[in-house]
Amino acid sequence: MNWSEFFSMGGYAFYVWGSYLVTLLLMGGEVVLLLRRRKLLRHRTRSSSEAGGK
Amino acid sequence: MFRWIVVRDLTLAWKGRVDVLSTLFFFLIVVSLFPLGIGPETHLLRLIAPGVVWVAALLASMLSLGRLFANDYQDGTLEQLLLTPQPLYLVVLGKVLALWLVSGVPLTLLSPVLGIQFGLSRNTLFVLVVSLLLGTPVLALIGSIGAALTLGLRGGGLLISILVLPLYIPVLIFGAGAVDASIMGSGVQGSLSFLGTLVVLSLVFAPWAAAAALRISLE
Amino acid sequence: MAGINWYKYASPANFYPLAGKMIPWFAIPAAILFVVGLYVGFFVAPTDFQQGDAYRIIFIHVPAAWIGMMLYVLMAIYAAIGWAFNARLSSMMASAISITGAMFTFLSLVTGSMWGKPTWGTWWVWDARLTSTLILLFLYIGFISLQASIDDPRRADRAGAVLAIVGVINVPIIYFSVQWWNTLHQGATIRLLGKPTMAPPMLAAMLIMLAACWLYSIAVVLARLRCTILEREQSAAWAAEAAGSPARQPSWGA
Repeated sequence: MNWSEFFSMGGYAFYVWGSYLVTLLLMGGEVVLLLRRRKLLRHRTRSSSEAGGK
Repeated sequence: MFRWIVVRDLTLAWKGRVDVLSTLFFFLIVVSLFPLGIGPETHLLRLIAPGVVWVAALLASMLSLGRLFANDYQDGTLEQLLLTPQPLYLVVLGKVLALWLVSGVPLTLLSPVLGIQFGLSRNTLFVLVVSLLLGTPVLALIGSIGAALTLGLRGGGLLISILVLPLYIPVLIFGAGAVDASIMGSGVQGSLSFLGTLVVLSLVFAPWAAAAALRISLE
Repeated sequence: MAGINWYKYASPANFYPLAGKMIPWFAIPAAILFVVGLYVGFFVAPTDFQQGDAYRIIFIHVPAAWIGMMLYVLMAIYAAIGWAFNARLSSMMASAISITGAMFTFLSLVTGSMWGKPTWGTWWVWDARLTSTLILLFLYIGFISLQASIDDPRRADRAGAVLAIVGVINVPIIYFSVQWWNTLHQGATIRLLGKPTMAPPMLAAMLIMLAACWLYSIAVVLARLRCTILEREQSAAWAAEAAGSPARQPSWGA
């Protein structure tokens, strides 16, 4: 398997790998943002109930 | 009751006619901006005229939507209207008719003058007027849904634009397409009949959706 | 199946733990299918005769476009059900879907553009499919903006439902008008965005990636739904328990 040929994608490396990089950024970003939101919420719910919430 | 609403809204519009005129001036100014931005070459202007006039009409229609429900909402009349035994569909239809008479029709009547600025032929001017005559009611009807949904929200006019402009796109395509066809010498019936279909569809569905949206916004 | 009371899961409080258990069942297969799909797409599928290796972008571009469209319809259905039956959870589901749907639609536009540049020379082309996808993105943005502007959650749910229903009815109209517009203005009949003739591994890779994106969407939407549930039900004791602190013991007076 000629790796350098593979990575150059027939000269279209920028477009092909660029597309998949954007894909990774968007999907990964979505997941990361969700995890952060969840962490924030759990923290907030926990502290509001411990601090004498309803 | 329907007639009462139309008359009432028309009277209010007359009282606030400065507002109404400014929509018209906005239309005029926006259309005039394009030659200033692009250059006075007649051939080019004739090509872009349908799109320019139609987009300006879209934007002007959208701006006029702020008057549709907002004033009545603020002074409490809208809530009263919701309580009447009359179907809300008719109330909405009446207000939209009044709005169209006051904004859409003047716009349509001004358009030939603007068309002349772009060097359009007499036939094309006629098609332009017809396309706007058919299209502006659709714009008002679809716009009423956006206006009803955004009652009392911050972000006002900008939010309505985001909601309503994508829905305006078919109207734009068929409206400008008809004028374009006239310039190119091809058949206008296709575009105009699609516009006609949109008129019928929006007359049937839009006031219903706007009424539902009003109830939701006023709960 | 008949013995389970499904209605109890209509309550956000009960659905929350169920959704939590479901997520791994979608996330892990999604990851696996992504790997498999990309492997088939890059190592098994041959180089295309006309487009060279640039065509390999379709393995993400086409699934993203389809998912974007399907999620919009799904969003409208959930929103409509939430409105018609006053089912909060259903409305929350619609809101959860909206962001993922918008993301995929945007992704399909970007990848479409990246595919277009080497294939027909420009970064953007106003062909029917790309233009319709752009308008779909506008529809998503409208829905998300509307819900973001309304503070009252129930009003946001219902207003979103009206907008989504109006949007979904308009989608065929918009699509038709864009097609018509495109054929009207097309000088030479260039078949733009033509997919390469599909050898079986290409089709297989695309379908696997489609399945992967679907599973990913379900997992991500469920996770977002759980966050929304937590946000809305914050004052409830069960939420505190779910977040991991012991529920306070009620103090019964003196």
